[in-house]
Amino acid sequence: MRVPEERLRAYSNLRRDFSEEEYINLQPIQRGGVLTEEARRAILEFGDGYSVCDWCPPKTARLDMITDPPIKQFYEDLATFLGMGVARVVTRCREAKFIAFRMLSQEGDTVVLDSLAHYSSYIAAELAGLMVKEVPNSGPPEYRIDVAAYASKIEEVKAKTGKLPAAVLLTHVDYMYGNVADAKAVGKIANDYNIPFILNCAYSAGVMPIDGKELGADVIVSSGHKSWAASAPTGILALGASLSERILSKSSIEGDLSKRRFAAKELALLGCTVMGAPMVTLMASFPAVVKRVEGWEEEVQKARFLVDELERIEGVRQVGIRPKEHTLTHMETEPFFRISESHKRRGYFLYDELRSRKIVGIQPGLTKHFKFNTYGLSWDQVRYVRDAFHDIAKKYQLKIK
Amino acid sequence: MSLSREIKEVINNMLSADQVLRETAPQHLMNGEEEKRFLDAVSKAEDSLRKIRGMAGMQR
Repeated sequence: MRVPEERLRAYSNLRRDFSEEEYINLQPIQRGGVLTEEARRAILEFGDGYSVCDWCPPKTARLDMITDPPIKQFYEDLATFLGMGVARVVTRCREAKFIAFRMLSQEGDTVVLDSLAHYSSYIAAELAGLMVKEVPNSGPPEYRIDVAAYASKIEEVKAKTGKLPAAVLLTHVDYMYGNVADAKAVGKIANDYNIPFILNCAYSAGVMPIDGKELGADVIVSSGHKSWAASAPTGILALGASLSERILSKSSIEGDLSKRRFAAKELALLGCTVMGAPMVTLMASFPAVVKRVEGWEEEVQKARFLVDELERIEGVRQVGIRPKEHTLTHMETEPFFRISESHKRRGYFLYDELRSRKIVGIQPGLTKHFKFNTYGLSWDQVRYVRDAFHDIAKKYQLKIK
Repeated sequence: MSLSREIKEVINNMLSADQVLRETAPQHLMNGEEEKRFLDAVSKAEDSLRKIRGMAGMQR
């Protein structure tokens, strides 16, 4: 079937409206994935489909065995960086969670997870045939995960099913409030029960220092496009030595006619995973990522600064744990909501005002509350954002303390 | 260096200039160090362009 020319024209000269060169982008999920210069250069070299496979070793044809480009070394260094034994790159953090759930459980088992977990944690559990048992949070205004309740939830599962949960999952930093949960405490509980502990570091590994061994994590999952200055799709699956053989077990299937076997292939990864551009961006940014996590405290200082400055607008307040321990921030902004009620653009006025000042990433239409992320912005850029919000507040006669 | 590699040098150097724009968006008020990085990258790209014209036999 032919696709009409006028439809095909839609795919030519693709351009992004909000380039990093023109706008300050506060989108919570995008800040940690902004590419380094090295990663952008790497795309030029390795953008073609199977470009990283030029030197795939014929005897062990597997992505993690490729030494040019140095994928094999990268996996080793990635594991070291995270304080884990083995690392693999998969397509997304959610896939890493699914792989861990699937390989650590039997159908009908239960996973205990925090009540601020991302939806993909639930869906990964569902696809793996698992039930979920949620650990509560404190509710407004802190929404702090009650990490001690992991023990009681494990007991509840045991009492109800007669079995311990197949795994425990904690979202290290949640997507909604940017709270940093006490992973070490959960790791200890899981370890006491001898249950595998999966730590979802989608918003933490790659931007802040993470030592899986110190935190007692058996599995660390993360997102390259969210926090490792890499193109999508890139997920990270890092394993403690004790679980690596179980999770990365090899294929054993055999063709009934051909008798073909694929014993070198890692079953749960379905063989090779991320080839080409996304993989090389992750690798090319890695030296910068290793370095940038050392500057985490300053990144947090920038977030706290902006929170303090926004809270000078009367009626504006940050929700979640205070003071901020992460750059993903959730604000309640009732005064902007009041303006929206009589504004001709309604809730879109704030987006319009920010966009006219070359700031994007606050969800269009939201004024009562919104999220942002300051990660990777310079102090000048953070002050520019502060000035923009104050300017908008003054324009609409809001009080600034 | 091959013609193709020289073309990539142009693009890579312009990416270096572009990186400065990213770091100074949206106003692009560059400090001394940023301005130097930007201009150095543009100069290197210009050098590569001159080489490309020569290599391609198109030099006037």
